[in-house]
Amino acid sequence: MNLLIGLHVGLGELGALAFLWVFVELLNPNKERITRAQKAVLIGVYALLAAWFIGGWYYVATYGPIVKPIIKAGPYPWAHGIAMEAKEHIFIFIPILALVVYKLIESAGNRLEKEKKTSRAIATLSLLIVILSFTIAGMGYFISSGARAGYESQSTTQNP
Amino acid sequence: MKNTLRHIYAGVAVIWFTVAITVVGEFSSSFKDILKNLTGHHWVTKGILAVALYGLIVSVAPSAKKDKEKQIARGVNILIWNTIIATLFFLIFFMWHFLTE
Repeated sequence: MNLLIGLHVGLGELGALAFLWVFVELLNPNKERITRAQKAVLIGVYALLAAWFIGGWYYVATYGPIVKPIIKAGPYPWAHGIAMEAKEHIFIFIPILALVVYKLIESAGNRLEKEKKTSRAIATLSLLIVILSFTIAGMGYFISSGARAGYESQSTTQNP
Repeated sequence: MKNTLRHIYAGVAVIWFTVAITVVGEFSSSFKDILKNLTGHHWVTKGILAVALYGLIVSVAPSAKKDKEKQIARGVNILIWNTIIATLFFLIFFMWHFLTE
């Protein structure tokens, strides 16, 4: 168990759920819903930025030197070569997209009630953040499975 | 809405900048070493450069007194499609890279 992974996953899911909240509020916005979307987007931005920093810290300090070599030597090296490589780079997009959504909602304010095209576009962008966040969470499952299989094959080799 | 288009442009630029430096880094170990040597890890350098590029474009892109609703909606849709294409690109690129390594 690693606290950093727990925080990274928890904050990432909190951020994704906050953007799901933004999506729902902007489907049919009125003043109350826009106020709630403004609060939700702030929660989402802070949670995703924190997940980014904590995930990056774990990746550099623990994953790279300890976990990565075990996955690469194990039965599922693709868990690093494909899943982790794609995850770590797609993850760079997410906080940037979150900042764009924050700026759009903050700047538009109550005008989103009338500007339907804009509110729908921002809702769709928020939904994309949710989909990307849960997609990379799924990649995390493959990476954990790759690491577990790597540890198991290592212990089998050491204790046949 | 004022000056929101520049945030959308910055988002699109960051996405393709990240794709570009990643692809170049996978083909050129010397370029990847430069990224690594800047901060100690290539991923950290990419993240810092992404945020710096976003900040730079938001600061220097031409400002408009008022962005039109149609432009904002179109810009957001462009950002959405660019993100989807770049995400699929990364998945296919790393599959290909892993299989041909």
